[in-house]
Amino acid sequence: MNEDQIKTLRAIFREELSISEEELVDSTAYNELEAWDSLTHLKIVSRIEEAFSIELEVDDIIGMENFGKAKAIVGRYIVSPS
Amino acid sequence: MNFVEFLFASSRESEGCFITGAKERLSYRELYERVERTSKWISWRYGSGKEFLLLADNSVFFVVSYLSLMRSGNIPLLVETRVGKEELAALMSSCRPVGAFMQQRLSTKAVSGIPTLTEADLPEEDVEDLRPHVRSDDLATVVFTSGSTGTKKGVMITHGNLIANTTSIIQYLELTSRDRMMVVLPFYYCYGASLLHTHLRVGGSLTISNSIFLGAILDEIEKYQCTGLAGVPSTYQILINRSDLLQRRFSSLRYMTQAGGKLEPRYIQMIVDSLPEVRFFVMYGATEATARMSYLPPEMIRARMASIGKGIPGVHLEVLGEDGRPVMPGETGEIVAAGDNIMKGYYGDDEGTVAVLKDGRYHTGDLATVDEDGYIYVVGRSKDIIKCAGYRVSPYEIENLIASMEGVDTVAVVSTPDEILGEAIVAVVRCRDGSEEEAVRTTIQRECRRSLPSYKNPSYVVFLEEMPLNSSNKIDKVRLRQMLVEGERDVR
Repeated sequence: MNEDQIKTLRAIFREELSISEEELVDSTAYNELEAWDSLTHLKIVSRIEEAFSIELEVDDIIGMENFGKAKAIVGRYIVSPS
Repeated sequence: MNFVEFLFASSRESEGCFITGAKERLSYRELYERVERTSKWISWRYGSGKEFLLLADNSVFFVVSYLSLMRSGNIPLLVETRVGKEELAALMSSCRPVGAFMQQRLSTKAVSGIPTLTEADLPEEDVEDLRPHVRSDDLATVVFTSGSTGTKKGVMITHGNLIANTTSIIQYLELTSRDRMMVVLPFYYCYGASLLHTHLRVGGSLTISNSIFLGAILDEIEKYQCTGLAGVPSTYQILINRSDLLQRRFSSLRYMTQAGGKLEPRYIQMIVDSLPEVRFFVMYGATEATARMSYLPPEMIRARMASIGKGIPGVHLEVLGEDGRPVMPGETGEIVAAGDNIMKGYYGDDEGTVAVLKDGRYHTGDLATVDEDGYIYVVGRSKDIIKCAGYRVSPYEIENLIASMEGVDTVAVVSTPDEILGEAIVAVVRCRDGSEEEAVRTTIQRECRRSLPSYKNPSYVVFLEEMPLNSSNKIDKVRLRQMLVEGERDVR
């Protein structure tokens, strides 16, 4: 992922989880933050799909349990980062 | 009879498994021993007839605490785990809890002045048995549910209510000890609690799934050989739209149930067409009726698509017109229920109780019609409530929050049909003169995310120059909903 793409991904997580730039780290995880519940997770997934024009597989949606993993998973979908 | 004794009547000695799942496992015997020990300890330590907050996700801790409180003649107050700390404190100040059973994970929400007990505080040693005898009309639990005014109402459920509803549900779903339910609905919600009650009573079992994504349950149903799945509209909509549910073949699943709002017939059609071997039960209920009031037999689902069926065994369900008489086919009236499952009343709210309980019958506030054979079809709600992702949401609370934000002149919160959520929340806003719509939208989205749990967040913020008004000069929400469906909305 290039810088812009990471920025987009960070913005989605920051906004949906209501946290600051500093609070969002790779270990920021599902269920540790009250705001990151299964419903928010779906919203994050939808926004990622819309922003990057991709469609995430079920196993990957399940796998995105912290921000670091989400970054790695989304990165795999973006075939040719420009 | 104590409801918990009723639940354990046939299975307490069983070595069979009651709870399975990725995180926890528990046999009947272990559960029975833990409930016996904990309930004796609660009676010995606190006496009986006392209220205790219970705040926990689906877990062994919830099940042991809940059953032990009722078995000891005390009263669990059930509140959704996503409740805000301040809201919880306000709610508890209107009750008389002497303690709080709280999952460690949620203990940051502890209410000052109320001693908290977490997983580590449950007793290990046996004490003297001082548990009282309870009568069927004694209070068993208070379940808090969102009312149309924005404050939660405590629904008072007796031991008799629970025994009656559990018995009826087991009968019409034909549950046996071979049944294993995939549980994704929370136990603090009456529909989720009914899964716990019925399967314990028949000697069946539960698989608890707390996955980050609902799609994970499809593999778990197979892995744990579940026979049943219970969901609200959004459960099925998420599975249809975001997983391969409709392409799956399940070796053990014999039925699905759906309640908690209206699932659009086209979704029901997709499920029954794609999974012909799975019986699909459409059901209808309310916390005020312990859980369940009606069901549509699966055999009739194609012929009576969109019907909620008729009253379950022991529940008399009618649709009454304004004159108090049953409506004729095609006419609209209110659904009214009678049976041993109808609540004792709302906690500390005689006025609210009198408004819905008349002559022992529960007036649901749901508008419906009937067909020639008496099958009931829900057509609307007289109360201003949104059902988003299975949760009851009061527009009033969200309107109050948004109205206080900068740049907002007027706001009305309504629902619109949604592919995933069942009903999505829409904030329709008239800006103050000179305010930038985009700035107002950003503020609303940011502040709502910050202040409200996820299921109360508006999916859309829509701007209007003028709000449509009805004859009494109030914002016409019926017209607003129509306008949204007709596509006059500007998404996100």
